[in-house]
Amino acid sequence: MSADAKKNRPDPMTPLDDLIGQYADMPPGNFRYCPGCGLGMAQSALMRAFHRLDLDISQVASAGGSGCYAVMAHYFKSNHVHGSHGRACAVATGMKLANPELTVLTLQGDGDCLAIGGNHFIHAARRNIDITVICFNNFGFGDTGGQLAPTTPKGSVTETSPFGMPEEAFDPCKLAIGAGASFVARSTVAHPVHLTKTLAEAIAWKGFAFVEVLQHCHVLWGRRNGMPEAMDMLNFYREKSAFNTAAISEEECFGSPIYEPDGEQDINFVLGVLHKEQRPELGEELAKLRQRVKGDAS
Amino acid sequence: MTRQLLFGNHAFCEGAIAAGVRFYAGYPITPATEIAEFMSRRMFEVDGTYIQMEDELASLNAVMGASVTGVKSVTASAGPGMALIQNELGQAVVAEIPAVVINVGRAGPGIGNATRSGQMEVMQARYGPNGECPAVAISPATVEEAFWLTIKAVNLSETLRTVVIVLAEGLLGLQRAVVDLPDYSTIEQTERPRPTMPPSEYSGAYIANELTDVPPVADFGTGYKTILNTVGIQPRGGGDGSTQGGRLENQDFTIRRLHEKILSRKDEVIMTERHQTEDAEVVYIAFGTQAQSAYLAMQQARAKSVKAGMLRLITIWPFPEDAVRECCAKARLVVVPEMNLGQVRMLVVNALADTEAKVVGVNHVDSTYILPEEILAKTEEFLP
Amino acid sequence: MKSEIRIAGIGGQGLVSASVVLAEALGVVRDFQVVQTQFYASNITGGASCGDVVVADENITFPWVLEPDLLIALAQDAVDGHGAKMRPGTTVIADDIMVTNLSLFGEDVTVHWAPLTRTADEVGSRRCANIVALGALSQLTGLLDLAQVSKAVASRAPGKPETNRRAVEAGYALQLTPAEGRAA
Repeated sequence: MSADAKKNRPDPMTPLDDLIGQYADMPPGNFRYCPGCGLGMAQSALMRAFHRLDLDISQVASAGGSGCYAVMAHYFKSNHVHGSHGRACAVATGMKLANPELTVLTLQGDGDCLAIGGNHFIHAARRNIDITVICFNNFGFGDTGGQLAPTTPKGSVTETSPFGMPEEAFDPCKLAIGAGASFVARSTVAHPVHLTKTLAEAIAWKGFAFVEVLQHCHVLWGRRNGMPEAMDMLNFYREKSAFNTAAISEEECFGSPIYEPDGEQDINFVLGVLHKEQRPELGEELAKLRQRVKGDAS
Repeated sequence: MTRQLLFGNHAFCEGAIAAGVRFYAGYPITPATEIAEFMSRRMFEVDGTYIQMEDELASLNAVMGASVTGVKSVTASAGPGMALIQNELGQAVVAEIPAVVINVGRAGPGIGNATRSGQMEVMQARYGPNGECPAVAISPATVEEAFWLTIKAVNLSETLRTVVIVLAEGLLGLQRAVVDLPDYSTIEQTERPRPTMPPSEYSGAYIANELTDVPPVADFGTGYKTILNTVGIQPRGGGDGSTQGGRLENQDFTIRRLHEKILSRKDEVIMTERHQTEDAEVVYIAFGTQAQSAYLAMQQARAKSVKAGMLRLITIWPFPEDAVRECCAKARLVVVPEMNLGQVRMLVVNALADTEAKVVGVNHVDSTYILPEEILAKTEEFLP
Repeated sequence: MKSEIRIAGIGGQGLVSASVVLAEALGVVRDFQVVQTQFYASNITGGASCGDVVVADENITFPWVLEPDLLIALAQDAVDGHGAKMRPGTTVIADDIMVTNLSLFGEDVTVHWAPLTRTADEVGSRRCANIVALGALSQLTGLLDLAQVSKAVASRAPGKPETNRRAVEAGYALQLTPAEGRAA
C-alpha cells in the first residue's frame, strides 16, 4: 500500500473532535445518557463509521422509536423520524423505497427492535430492503427503568424478573439470519475499533444489514447482577467475547446468553460478521418491476 | 374527460393518483382490500411504489417514512385495522407528517362483520388516538365524490401538515357508478410548506411563532437537517421562534397549535351541503351515503307540505358546528340518520344546546341503509 | 326513465359480474346514469347473493335497489329472498331448472321462464348462465341491442371471449313468454 493510500484511508479511531463539526449536533446542556452509558461509546463508533465511509450526513436518514437510545439521532446532523415505539423498520422501509438515494438506518434498542417491533424487524429482513438496523442491546428496557426484554439473559435480575429471568432470551443475530437478513454482525462497545469497522461494513452493505451492538447498562442491569460500574460490564464483554474465526464452529456463534456469574461457559458472545449472503434487494427489484410495467404499457 | 364505470374503492385510488400520490402501503382488509389490489397495479404504472406491509401499523409507518422524503403517500384500512393504527395516526399528527388514511367502514366492534358496512368510526376519528389529537375527516357520499374528496384530502394533508382521514363506508367502497374522470394534469395540487432559507439558517421542522402556523419542513435528503418527533423529547420550536424553549411551555404550545392550525382554516377545511334549510322547521343532518336517504326524505316531506331541509356534513372533523346552528335556526325538530347508534347526533345535540330544537336519530347497525320512509316516520312521530 | 334491476341467485353464479357488465353496457356503451351495488355473504361460493343496477336518464339520488322492477332469478334462493319485494306490474326472468316455486310472487308480477342454465350448458359452460341472462334481459326489455350488450361483455368479462360471445347471442335469441296462469 502506498503512503498516499494509507493516508487517505480513515483511521478507525480518528479523534472525535475532528468529526463533531462534520457529523454531530451537540445538545445544549448535558447529554441525556447516564454517566458511563455505553450509548455514548456506540455513538462515537457510529460517527467514525460515517467518517470511514465518507458519508454526506445530509443524505443519511434514520428512524427510531422509544428507549434510552432514542435521543441519539437528535445528536447527529442527519435526518430522523422519531416515531412510535418499535416501528422504525417500517418507517425506514418507506423512506428507502420513496428515496433510494438516502442511506437509511434504524437506531433501535433491544426491546424496541425485538419485542414490540419484532414483526417489522423480521419482515424488513425478509424483504432484504437496503437499510441498516442497529440494535443497541442492553439486556432490558432502560428508558422505563430496567424491566426484562426478550434479550434479558436467563436467570438475571430485572425490575420485572426479581427472582431471575425465567424465560429464554433471543439471540438477535440468529433471529435476523432466520428471517433472511443478508448481513448480520455483532460487536460490543468494549471493542470500539471492531465496532466502528463493523458498523461501516454494515452501512455499506447493499441489502438488509443487522448489527447487534452489546451496549452495557450498568445502572439498571449491571447493578442488579453484580456489575455496578461501567468498567465491570466492559470487562465482562471483553472476557466473555471471542472474535469470529474459522476456529469457532457455526454452532458456537449463536446461543442466547445465560447469566451464570460463576458458570463454566467461557464465551457468551461471538463477535464479527456472522452471516453474509448477496440477495436481490427490494428497491432494485421494484425498480425493475416499474420498468417492466411501463414496457408492457407502451 | 373519460367516462367509465368506476368502482368506489378504485375511485379513492384514482383520486389519490390525480392528487400526486406516488406511494401506497397497505394490508388486505375487507371492505378496503380492492384499494390495495388496485394500487399494487396502478402505483407502478405511474412510477410510484406499492408495498404490502406486515400489518396496518407497519403500513401507516411506511407511509410516514415515504412522506418525509416529500412523496405524497396514502394507506387504507377498515374496522380493526383502523383500531390498530390509532397510535400511528397520533404519531403522524404530532410529528406533523402529511398522510391520508382511507377508512372504508365495516360494522361492529372487534373483528366486527367484515363484509358489512357501517359509519361507526365518527368518534374514533377524533378521539381514537391518545393525547388530545386533532382530526380532519371528510366523508364522500358517491363514487364520484370518492374521487374528488380524496384529492381534497391529499391537498389538505399537505397544506395542514397533518393526517386527513377519508371516512367512507363499505356501501360506497363496493359500489360502482358511471363517472367522468378529468385529465389529471388539470387537477390542482398543493404542497406542504418547505423552507425558503438556506440549510444553515433552518432550525428544524417546528419553528412556529403563532398558534395558527404550519411550519415549513424540509424533505429528507435535500441538504437540511430535519428531525420529526414528538413533544417533550427534545425542545421543539416554541412561541418565541427559538428551538431552545423549555419543555413544558413547548408541549402546551405544540398541542394547542396542532389544533389551531386546523381550526383557524375552517373556510378551507369545513365543507357542507345545504338544501332548503332557510325556512326549515325540520332539518335532516346526515353524512356519507346515508345523506342520499336524507335528501329523498326531505323531498318527500316537502311534497307533504312539511317545511323540511337537509344539511349534509362533508367534513365531519372539525365538526361543522356553525353550519349546524345556521341550518337549524328555525328548526323545531332535527333528525340525524346514521349507521351507528348516534355519534353525529351527540355532536348535533351539543351544537344545538342553546336552542329548543328536539334532536332525534334514525340508527341502523344491521348494515342496511336507512330508508327515506324511516326518516319520515320519525318526523311524524316527533314533529310537535 | 328509471329502472331498478336485480340479478339474484347464490354466490358463485357470477351475479355481481353480470351486474357490472350490465352497468357498463347501460352507463358507458349507452349514456345512462348508472349505479351498481351488490350483496353477498362472506363466503366466495354459496349463500344468497345479488348484483343490483339502478339506471336512469337523470341524476341518481338514491343508489340502492329498493323494489326491483326487473328481477333475474338464477336460483330458488333469489325468489325466496326477493320475491315478496316485487311491485305489481314488474317483470321476472326465472331460470327454468334452478327455480321451482313461484308462489312468493304476487299475481300481478309477470314471470318469464327462461332456460338460462340449460342454454349455458349448450354453449359449453354452465358458468356463463349469467351472460345468457344478460342477453335475454336485453332482448326482453329492449334497453340494449345485441351489439351494445356484446360490447360490454367483451370489455368487462374478457375471459373466455368466444364462450361469452356465444352465450350472450344465445340469450338474446331466447323467445321468452310469460308463465301461464299469471297476468301478462
